[in-house]
Amino acid sequence: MPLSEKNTRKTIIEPSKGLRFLNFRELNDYWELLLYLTIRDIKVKYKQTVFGVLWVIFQPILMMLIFSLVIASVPNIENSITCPYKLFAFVGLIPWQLFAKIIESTSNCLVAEAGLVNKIYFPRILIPASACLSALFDFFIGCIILALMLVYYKQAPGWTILFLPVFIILMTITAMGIGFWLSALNTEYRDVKCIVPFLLQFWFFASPVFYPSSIIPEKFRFIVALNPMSGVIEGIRWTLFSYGSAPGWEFYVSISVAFITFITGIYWFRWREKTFADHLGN
Amino acid sequence: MTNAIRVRNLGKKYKICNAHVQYKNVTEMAGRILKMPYNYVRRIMNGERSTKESTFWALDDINFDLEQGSVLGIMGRNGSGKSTLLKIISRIAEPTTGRIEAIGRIGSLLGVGTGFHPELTGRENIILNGIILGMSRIEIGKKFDEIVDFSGVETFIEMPVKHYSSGMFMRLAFSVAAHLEPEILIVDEVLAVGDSDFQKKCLKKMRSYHELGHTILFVSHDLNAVRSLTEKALLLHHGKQVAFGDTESVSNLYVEHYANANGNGHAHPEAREETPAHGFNVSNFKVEPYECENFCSGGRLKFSFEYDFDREIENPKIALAINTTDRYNSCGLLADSNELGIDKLPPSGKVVCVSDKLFFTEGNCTIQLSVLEKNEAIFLDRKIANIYNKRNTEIVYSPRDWFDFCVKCKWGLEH
Repeated sequence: MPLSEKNTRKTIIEPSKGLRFLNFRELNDYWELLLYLTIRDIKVKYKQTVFGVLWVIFQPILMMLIFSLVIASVPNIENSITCPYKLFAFVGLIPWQLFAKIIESTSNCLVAEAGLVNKIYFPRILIPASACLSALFDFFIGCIILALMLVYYKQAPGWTILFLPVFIILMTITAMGIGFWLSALNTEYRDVKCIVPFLLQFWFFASPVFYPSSIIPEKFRFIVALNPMSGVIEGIRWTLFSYGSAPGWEFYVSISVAFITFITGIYWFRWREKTFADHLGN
Repeated sequence: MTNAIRVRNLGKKYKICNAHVQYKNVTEMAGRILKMPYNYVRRIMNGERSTKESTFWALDDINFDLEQGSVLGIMGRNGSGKSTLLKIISRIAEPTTGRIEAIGRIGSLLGVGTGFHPELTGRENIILNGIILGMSRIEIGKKFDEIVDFSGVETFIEMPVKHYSSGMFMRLAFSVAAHLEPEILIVDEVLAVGDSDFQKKCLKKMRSYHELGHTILFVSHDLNAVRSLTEKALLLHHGKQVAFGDTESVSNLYVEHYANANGNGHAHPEAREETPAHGFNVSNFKVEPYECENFCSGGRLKFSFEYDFDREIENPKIALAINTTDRYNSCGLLADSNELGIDKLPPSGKVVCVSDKLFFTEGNCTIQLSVLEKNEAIFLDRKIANIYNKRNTEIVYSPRDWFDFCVKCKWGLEH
């Protein structure tokens, strides 16, 4: 590069002090890296599989079939649902899979990318962010199947579909917030890796994925509201085929929980990121 | 010239992770908590204030300025803090104290093939790796053909790199790295792995960077590479800055005091491996070109020295060894009594040895002289003289006390 074109930006390297939020100016320089890390994740994920990207579709369909087989034998649940159970379960499973996928991949991403973290500088937050974006890619493919199912069951979404992005963003933010926390913790304590499957299993049963939240007794409503996924899944059912009622006060609790998780997750991640290279070794 | 890098008071503290200091799981933690009152009381009794011994400074008080366009070699033994310094300058690890100011893009090559994914094709990996190393997509697009050309793997470019041979993989990975053009380039010794062709390519590329006015920080154990590439050098020892200055004097210091220091790694400037006890005196050791005017690789050398001893030497052997920085006895010129044409070596005299053609590789080598009587050494000096062959263009010979006597010449290549 000729001298005249030389970049003369000054970099100052110092011990960091206090809490830091995102450095947006720097992130702006690195958006290409985020994009290509995401593309790599997507390309690599289903390499050397026969069905390739079709697995994105198969996974929720298989889950849906399992649940419709099992739940069909539980009369109480099926009776309390006013739409075809397969559709009901699928609409719950697609967002749940996104949520679980984000947490699963982000919590392990820094350890998996130790080679990068140890050799190259870039904003570390891009690693969990790209893991999250590649999970969103799966989600959007799942959404296409969901749309086909809506057509098949002749469920036309009304004006409420305008709220769909709100729920998707809310869910992504919650998952990313948790992902930031877990990924940073996982560099130091690999216990995280062992806990995550149980956490997700528990969370799955605690969320109205294969059952309607109406079967939960009234007195537990506040606890349910603390789980953003319950609001999100119910909300998505409401936006897509007006199942259930519009979200009430519980929704505001969910939003608060989601944002608190997300913001604290970023602060935590940014605070711990200086130690990543030390903990991940060579 | 403005400074490309200013380092002030830089320090990095690490915790030592041993079982006594840190606990990482619950069972250990439970044990520690139970013992805590006991340990606490014991510490108070011993007058220790804190667990000070659990930390160490991998780098301590490093200060230097580097001008734009200069090449800095960082020297030091294993564990002296070289890699830590590079990691801090490339912002991978954070310093504990101090400040670095750098002007321009910083690109670091701490490993070849960082971010390569085995499942992706050569083409995809070039783009991905380029972006990871800090190039823009447009830049990579412009240089893509050049990169592929340089690597020589164009026929396999659409193939997943997991099917590449390790040599092809390295070539491709290096080609991407070589086309990164930051203002400040940080290179760790990992680049020196690979075959000699590959290493030469690395060095050549780095020289061309330097000619373009880029600033380079370069770590290597290969003193020859450091000497031929850099003008300035920084010598670290146990995390402390021992010397910063021109490469020649710093590398001499390193060779003399640090490079072969053994055991706990403390420098012993006085420790020279000699056997002076026998009273065999050598004087006037000389190396001269023979049958040619100048020193040159591929020419003949004449070694000569005078000696005196208190008696005749029976069954003598005289050995001249040429040692390189990393290898003893890489070349030997050995004379026994047959070759000398005598049974006994007179008490004093002059020994002359004319070598056959000697071919020197780039770098420094020392001449070792040993004299044996009945296969027992009565004289040994590992560094009686020094020959330094710089970039295959000139050769410098110096007796032990550096540069009392130097001869420079141009090398010629003959085929």
